[in-house]
Amino acid sequence: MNWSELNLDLLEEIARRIKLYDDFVAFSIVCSLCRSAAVKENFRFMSSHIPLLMLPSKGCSNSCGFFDLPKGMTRSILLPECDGKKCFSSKGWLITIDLDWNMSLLNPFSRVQIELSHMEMFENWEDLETLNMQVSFISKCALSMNLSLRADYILMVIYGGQIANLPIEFVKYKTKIYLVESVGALLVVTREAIEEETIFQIFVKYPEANLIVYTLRTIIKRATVFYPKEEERI
Amino acid sequence: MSSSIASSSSSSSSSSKKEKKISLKTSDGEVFEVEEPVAMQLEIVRSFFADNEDVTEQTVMPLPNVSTAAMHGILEYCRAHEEFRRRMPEAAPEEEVRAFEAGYVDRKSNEELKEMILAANYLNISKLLDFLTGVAAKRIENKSVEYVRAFFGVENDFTPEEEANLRREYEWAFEGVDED
Repeated sequence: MNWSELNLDLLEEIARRIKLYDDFVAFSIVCSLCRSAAVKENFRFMSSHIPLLMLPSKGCSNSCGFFDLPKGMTRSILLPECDGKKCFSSKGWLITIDLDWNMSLLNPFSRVQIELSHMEMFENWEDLETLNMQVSFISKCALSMNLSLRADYILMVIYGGQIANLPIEFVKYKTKIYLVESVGALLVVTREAIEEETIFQIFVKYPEANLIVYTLRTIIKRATVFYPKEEERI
Repeated sequence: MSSSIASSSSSSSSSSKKEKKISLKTSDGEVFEVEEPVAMQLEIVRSFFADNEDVTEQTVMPLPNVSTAAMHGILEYCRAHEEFRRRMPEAAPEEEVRAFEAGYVDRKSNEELKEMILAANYLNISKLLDFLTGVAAKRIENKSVEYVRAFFGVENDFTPEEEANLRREYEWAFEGVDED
């Protein structure tokens, strides 16, 4: 009896139990059958994986350093796409912004890149542009889910002004988006409001009595939700 | 029927003479007499006896895809779990089950593990298959592609160009893996 009798079902069962993404990748390069088993859908430990810490770039460089905490080592990843750009991260993706305010989503491992609408489509863009707030302009970017897993995603960008209580968590559930602020308040954005037009006006409902209304309004005014075009979705 | 098997099964049945036994014949011709509740953990056996009206207690069910060695390992696991189940409702402490499982796989070589995965799959014992595939995933943790190939005993069927491309794409993943 030989492992080569292992069928795809069994290899998939094993692939689903691999906890570290590195091991999952090594497994996918073993043979073509393993590669078929190691499809992204079978990687189940996305959320429990300790994130890599992205290191600041040392001047012009084609690669980026990522510190791997469990292994205690720095990995250098070829990533010319993020050279000279400001990066945010969410759900395993980087949100990059260049000096001309072009925004993209970038997967640091597959290097899949999705161009997003230029930031000039942001509401109040003219006012904000003159502020020259390259560093603090955007306070938070968040994806609703890992793009590799699901096609139905949205990216939320919160920008401009001083936002006291940044949303720390962001969940899309059915027709609503929920934001949880660092002070514990819950914001709800309805899906109907998102689908109306390119720059989406966001309505916020008040599901809990103890919302801090001032903070809430600050965020409503300054939040823009992008819906990537159909062909941009993976 | 092998005398060694007969003696090992009689020792395990000493507690109850009336206990119903199911006879299972492995690929190398050995017949195992297995206590019914243990044998019924093997879904393939359960459905064989449930679906065939003309089988009797004397029926020996052939299992051509299971070796004697794999069968020993499988019965050890299923018997232990039957023991845990019997102690219900005072459920066996989680730690005790885990300690058993840890000790159980420690004694299995990679070769034995893979035989048992194939057998557990064929016999359709989902609990054991869950457990063993998890053990296999654990054993390839932090290993090189070459190690995993040797572990599975599979041939690299990529062309050198394809493999080079795949590795380039994932260069970052191959730093700091165990050499063995």
